[in-house]
Formats: sequence, C-alpha cells, structure tokens
Amino acid sequence: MSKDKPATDRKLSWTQIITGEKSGIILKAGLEHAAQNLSMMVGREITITDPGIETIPIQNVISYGGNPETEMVGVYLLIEGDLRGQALLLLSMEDAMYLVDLLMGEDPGETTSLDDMGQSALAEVGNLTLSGFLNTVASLTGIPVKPSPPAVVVDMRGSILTMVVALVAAMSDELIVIESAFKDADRALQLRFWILPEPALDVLNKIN
Amino acid sequence: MTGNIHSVSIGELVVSKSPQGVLVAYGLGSCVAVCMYDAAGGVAGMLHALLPSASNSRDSGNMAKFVDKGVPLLLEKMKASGALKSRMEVYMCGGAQMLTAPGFNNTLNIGARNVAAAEAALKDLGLRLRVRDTGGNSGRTVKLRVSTGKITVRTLGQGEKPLN
Repeated sequence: MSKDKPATDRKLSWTQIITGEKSGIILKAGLEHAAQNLSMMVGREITITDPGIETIPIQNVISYGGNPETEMVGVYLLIEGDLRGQALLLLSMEDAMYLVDLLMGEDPGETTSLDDMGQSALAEVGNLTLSGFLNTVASLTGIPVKPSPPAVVVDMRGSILTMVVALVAAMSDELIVIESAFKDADRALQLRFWILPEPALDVLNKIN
Repeated sequence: MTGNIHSVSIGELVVSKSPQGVLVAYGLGSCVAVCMYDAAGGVAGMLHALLPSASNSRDSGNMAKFVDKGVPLLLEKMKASGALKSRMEVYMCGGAQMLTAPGFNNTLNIGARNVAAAEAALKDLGLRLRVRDTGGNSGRTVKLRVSTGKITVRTLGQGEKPLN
C-alpha cells in the first residue's frame, strides 16, 4: 500500500462525508465535539447549529453573510492528509473580543482591541473547534486528517473570504461549504464555522 | 463617494461609459484589480481577478477570474467601447499576502503571483502601468470613478486614500 492515496480516493471520502448515508451523524458528531471543546475552554455552554451544506458561487462569496468591508476575524487552517481542504472560523470583531474576555476571565466589554495575546487565544479557539471537528470526522470515518496550525487574520470580510476562494477557484466556480454557527445562551454569536472540502467534480455533481 | 456604484465581483470585468458610474471591487485580498481608463473616450474598466494563470486550471468557464486571460479581455472590451490603446491609463491594486503565519506557503504566494502575472500580461500588450498599490498584508477596496478616472483605495487601517 502506498502512503499517498490516489486523488480519486480522497474525493470519494468527502463525497461520503457530505452526501453519504451516515453524513448527518458524522457531521453532527464533529460539530458537537467542536462545541464541547469551546464550552470547556470558555467555561460556559456553547452550542452549535445543525450542519448545512452550502454551495456558493464565487462571485457571491465576498459579501456572504454581510458587508464585504466589515472588519472581521478569521481563524484559518489547511486540512492535509487523506482528506484535504480548508477550515475557517469567521467572527465579528465584537464576538472575537467577547470570546477573548471569556477566555481571559475578564468581564464582557473589557477587551477593546485584539493584541497578540488575544489573537493567540483566538488561534486556540480555532484549533480546538476546527481540529475538534476534523478529529471526530477522522475517527468516525477512519480517514486520517492532518490540520495545519491555525492562522489568525483580522481584515475586511471580503479579503478573508477571498483567501479561501483562491484555493478552490482553479477547479470550480463554486465553493462547497459545510457550515454551522455557534450559540451562546446569553448572546447570538456571529461565529461562522466553515469546512471547505477540496473541490472535486463528483462532490459538485452530487450536490447540484 | 456618490454615483451609481457598480460592484465588480471576483472573476468579473466591467467596462462603463456612464458618467455617474463608480466601479468598485470590495475587499480585495490576494486578488488584483486592474483598472483601465481612457479620459478622452470617457471609458473606464475594471477587472477583479483571483488567480494568476489559467494554465493550471481544470476549469475553462469564466476566464476573467484569471489574471493572464482577464487583462487582455479587459483591453478588448475597453476598445469595443471606444477606448484607444494609445490613450489608456492603467492602474493595479491588490495582491496582498493575507496570511503571514508560517506553513501557508502556497496560499501566501498567490497575491505576489497575481501581481507578477498582471505585469507580464500588461507588458505583452504593450501597456504601461501608471500607478499601483500592491502587496502588503491588508485587504483593499478599490473605487474607480468613470467621469474622472480617479481611483481611491480603502484599507481598514488607513481609511480611503487617492491613488492617482
């Protein structure tokens, strides 16, 4: 057995995860794991919505979810291994600072800008949620997944979102996204959780 | 900025002769916006391209998402609207490196490769770049006014600044 599996195997794997019989169970388990990790980290209950599979034309991506010029925080990582793709947490500045307050044990409103410490706390949020999801998917499917360390980007929504489009657009004019959102009992968090499978034609065909 | 905003999305190229028109590419990250302007003809055009070259692509649909194909297409469309190549003013913005963390080399390079691809495409067409605002680590919104050819670039840190 070669260590590098042929590309067809990888495509099939994402297809099964997104559209297969157990798709709902796998995705939900992954998201619940992500929410549990975040809950433990911030010391309060964070829940997560059921996963949706979105297909977004690349022309519409920059304004997906709001104004393309709004300042947002992205926590981004690459998914390597047998399943390939990208993962992104996208959150408003407000929610990012609220999370930093929770993580640092400060009163809400204490954090008013994102310094290095805040950014590294958010990187850890990305790590525990995105990698939490991916590890669960890996253990349920038996497909090894290797998430890269996360990077934090603070910039316009459009600029953060084009970052993920760039890796997809050579093959497709659409982004396929496994999407969910976190919820806090006290607060509607604008925290978008995105997993972006490496584009593969058979996945596109099955979804469209 | 007042006027009729015409948003130029990823993989789009727009040419306008409407005096009230303002062409806008929002939130450019590693993408580049190439702007062309013919003052005498009153024609302005903008390309919002995402990837340097069509040659590594499996997709042959929308060519305006590729810098190498999009730049000549923009020139053609400008000419078709009455612009003259000899009068063309050319500007370029974008090509930022959004990720500065180690381990993202592939993603890192796209901005710089887009800029290089645009330089090469313009050179092939015999067009000279007047002013540029490329590279760096920040996203940009670029606006081009059809009536005057004036371009502004907005970043979150610096606000909106004139390019030309």
